[in-house]
Amino acid sequence: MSGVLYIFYVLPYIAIAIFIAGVIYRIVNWANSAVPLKIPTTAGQQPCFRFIRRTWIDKIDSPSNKFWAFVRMIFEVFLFRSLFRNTKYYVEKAGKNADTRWLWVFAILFHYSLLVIVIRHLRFFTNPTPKFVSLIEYLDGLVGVAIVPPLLMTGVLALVGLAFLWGRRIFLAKERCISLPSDHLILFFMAVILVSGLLLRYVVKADLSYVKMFALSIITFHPPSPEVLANLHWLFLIHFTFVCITIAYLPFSKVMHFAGVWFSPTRNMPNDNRMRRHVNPWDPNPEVPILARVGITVDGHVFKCKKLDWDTYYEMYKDQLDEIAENNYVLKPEEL
Amino acid sequence: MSEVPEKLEIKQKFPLWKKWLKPVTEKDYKPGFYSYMALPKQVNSDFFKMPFGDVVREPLEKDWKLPENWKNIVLNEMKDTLEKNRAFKVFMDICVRCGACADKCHYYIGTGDPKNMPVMRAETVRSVYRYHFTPFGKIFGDWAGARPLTEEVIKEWYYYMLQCSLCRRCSLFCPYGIDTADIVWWTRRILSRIGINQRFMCISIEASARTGNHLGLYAGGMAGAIQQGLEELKDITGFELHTYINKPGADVLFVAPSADYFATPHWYVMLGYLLLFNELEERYGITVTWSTYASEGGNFGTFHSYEAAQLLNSKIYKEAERLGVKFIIGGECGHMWRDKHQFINTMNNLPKNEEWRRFWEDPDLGQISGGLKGIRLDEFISGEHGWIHILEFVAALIEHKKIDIDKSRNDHWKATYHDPCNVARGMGMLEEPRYVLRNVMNHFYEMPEHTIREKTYCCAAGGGMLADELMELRMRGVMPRMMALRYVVKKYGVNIMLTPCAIDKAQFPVAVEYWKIPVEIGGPMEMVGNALVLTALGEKPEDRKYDLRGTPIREEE
Amino acid sequence: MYHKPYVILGIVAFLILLAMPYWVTAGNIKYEDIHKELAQPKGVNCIKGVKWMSSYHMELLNEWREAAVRDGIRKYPTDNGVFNVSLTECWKCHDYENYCKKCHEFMEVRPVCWDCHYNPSMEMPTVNYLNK
Repeated sequence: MSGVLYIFYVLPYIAIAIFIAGVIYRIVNWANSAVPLKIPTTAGQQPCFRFIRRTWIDKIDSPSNKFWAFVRMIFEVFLFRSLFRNTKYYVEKAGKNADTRWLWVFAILFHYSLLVIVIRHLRFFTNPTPKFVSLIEYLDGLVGVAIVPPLLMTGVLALVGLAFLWGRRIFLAKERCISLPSDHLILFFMAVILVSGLLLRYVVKADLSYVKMFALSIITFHPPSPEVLANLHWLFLIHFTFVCITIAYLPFSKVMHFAGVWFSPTRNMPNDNRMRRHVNPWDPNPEVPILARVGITVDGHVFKCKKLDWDTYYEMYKDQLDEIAENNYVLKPEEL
Repeated sequence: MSEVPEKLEIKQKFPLWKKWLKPVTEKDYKPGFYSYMALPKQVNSDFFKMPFGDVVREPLEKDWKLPENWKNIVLNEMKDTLEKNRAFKVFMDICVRCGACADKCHYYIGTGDPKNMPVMRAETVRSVYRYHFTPFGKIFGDWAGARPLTEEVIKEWYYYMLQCSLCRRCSLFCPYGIDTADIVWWTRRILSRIGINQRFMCISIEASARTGNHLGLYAGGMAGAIQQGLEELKDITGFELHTYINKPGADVLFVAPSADYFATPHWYVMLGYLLLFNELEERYGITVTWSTYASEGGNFGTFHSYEAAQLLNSKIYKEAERLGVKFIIGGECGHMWRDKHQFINTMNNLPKNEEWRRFWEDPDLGQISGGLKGIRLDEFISGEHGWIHILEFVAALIEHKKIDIDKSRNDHWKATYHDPCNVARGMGMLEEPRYVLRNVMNHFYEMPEHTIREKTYCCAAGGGMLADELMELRMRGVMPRMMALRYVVKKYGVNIMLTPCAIDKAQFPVAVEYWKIPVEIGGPMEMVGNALVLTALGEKPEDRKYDLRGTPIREEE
Repeated sequence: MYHKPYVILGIVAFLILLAMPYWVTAGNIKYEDIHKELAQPKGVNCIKGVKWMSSYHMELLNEWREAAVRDGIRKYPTDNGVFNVSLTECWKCHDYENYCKKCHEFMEVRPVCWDCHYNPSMEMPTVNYLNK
């Protein structure tokens, strides 16, 4: 019996291995594609003559160099800058636009709560536990201190965020329409993990000393004794299994946006097209346009255009061009 | 031109994913929403030859006469795109379908078609990507939101990839910066490999590849048009003005969208350019030349594919080199500036002439004329690019007090400013036009804040959507902009909307007529032309009696 | 691969972040079989079953607090006998230092009890338990 339980000890290693390999594969896969053009979405006043005023927000949204592009990425990743711009269009109110930041609020709430929750879980994976982990847990529990054990607000907020994010996919027609099963699947995983975690803390309690020994055994590569495995609570095992499944699923899911956003050319490139030339890796020396140089090859056929360089052009429209030259390239109103 | 109903209705239905994975095909195409396909004379011409372009295709017919091997071609091309363009690959992978982009798209707002949400537009491609390029998609099929590539899917792509004006408003709001314009652009490129091209944009691309400009104007025609402008200016100002064309040894090459030579209200903007160049030459001796070879600033290739864009914009640096200019000024145009700001110096080698090199070593306009000393272009431009927008240039001239302005000449106009999408989100030129307008006119009002600057709404005709057969789509898509315009017209009595974009200037006059908003359309350079006092030619502020439209500036007593 | 330095930097940052438990402790994680190190309790029966007690003792103490302070109930009968509602009742069998405190420290649990209450290892009750 106890031997079978070792599955749970192996599970996280498999999950993490899939996760790491998967994420690196995805990242390298993206990096293997060329960036042919510099196409930042300029969301603010461009770099320009000095007398044109540029606020600091313009500098972030329309970055003039790599440093500001980096700042823009930081704003995008950590503050969801673009989502913060969100508006809603009211057809019925003569096209009134209004700021709607609900999606931003709940997205921020959800993501940061998850972050704090992950940091809080460090208390299981470290021994002795660093001070900052206890501090975060203490601050997290300040509001709910009247309850035993203290109610940690991030747990609740994450659930609220999740309910909103899932609720809009279920109850709003537009969002329901664009949702794929995978969108619901990942939310389902998160819901199971969050609910089981909250239940474990507040309702169906486990003997955490075994849980921590189990966690330490994973992180220190020190196989746990059968006693530890035998004493793991069933609800904890559900919680734990879903965490592992989710971790293994991440590289194949849309959650890869956490890495992909760094590769988004509309965000990570500076708006310095006029300062620095961007070289297209697969067309580095475009002396003659591709269509006239090599043409495009499709299914073995080559489709090549005739080159309209000046000489060809001149030959084609010689009379008219000569007439312009005869007038010394000057245009004047005709004498009447 | 397709008829647009008097009353537009938005009927919305939101199918679940299994349902929308079934493609929209030619049977569901609605008139006013689908584009005609390019004819052999456009895509099988000597100067613009696209694969399998030798066949006449009808979108409404069942048989699209795709090449035998079309499926392999598309999949290979998709693989190639994934390798060639990281943006495409990343955007295929990281969308979380949060829906932040949905009601940012003017086409979605105007049509209510769920597949016009940027996320769904991209999802029509992503579903195929998942099926053919990811393990989960292959295994779980539609449960993973994946579907195999079929002829119906190609038809759906054609329908929805050509209901996008590449305005990038969605990319502004996307938390990961997913740029639907990029997905659409590269998917159109994939479609072009099996002979599927939109007619409207290909007419212009082919013309530009053959003659140098979208209108297909020959050198003489262009020169004649500009000459006519000079004649009109003689009537308005009384001065005998001149300009240069194809002039070797000029200081500056000027490139404008070809619509400026003929169309209204683009025309008034061209008159503005001519006034400015004459004043500058007379006062500072700076010579600006037009070119018949590089006669097109716009680039419809940027709606079609990387290669087409390159084919069209390759002429300009070559011409700059041939004429031996020092730098290039670009005219008022929207997508032109996405191309000229972000693409041109990647897609082409820079001019190698001596004048260019020497000027950019110390790019102070004082090099050309002592009087212009102090205007330094290297504050944001280098010799690795060499383009300046005419409005940036005018802003600098005004700031340094190099030209004389009489604001009161524009007192009969109450203006608002529409940011062209590509100028706002592909370049970031937001403040310069406003700076210029505040300095050349007394009555300038902004539209509501969510519809201007980087959040600007598209005119719904960019990206190849200016086609007449798309009229209903255009009139629906322009609705958010029209609502914002109506607001300022009612509140401030605005009577002109200024926009430095040739496509805007073509679309808005139609749109304001349809939406019944009593307002004129124009460009900022028209206002500059009105207010510019030709001091060097001896003009006094009060001398000008008519504006560039020929209407009296001051009420007759 | 394009942009190699940035990509490698990113991957390294990702791995470093994953290895958080190791570097926040400076590589100092000790596997401990805490049950072997705890002092053996002296008595035979705990207030309730051992398994229940190890998971739910904080709830019992919380219940006791309210019973004693609000209702003045000082006796608590269970299947295992009648117990005094008092922390000292625990210490009859359990060594505070080597049992309660040791395990709490291992688990990084800081009960709020000692905000008000005295325990065998402190001179004075303190109100700020973060300062020990």
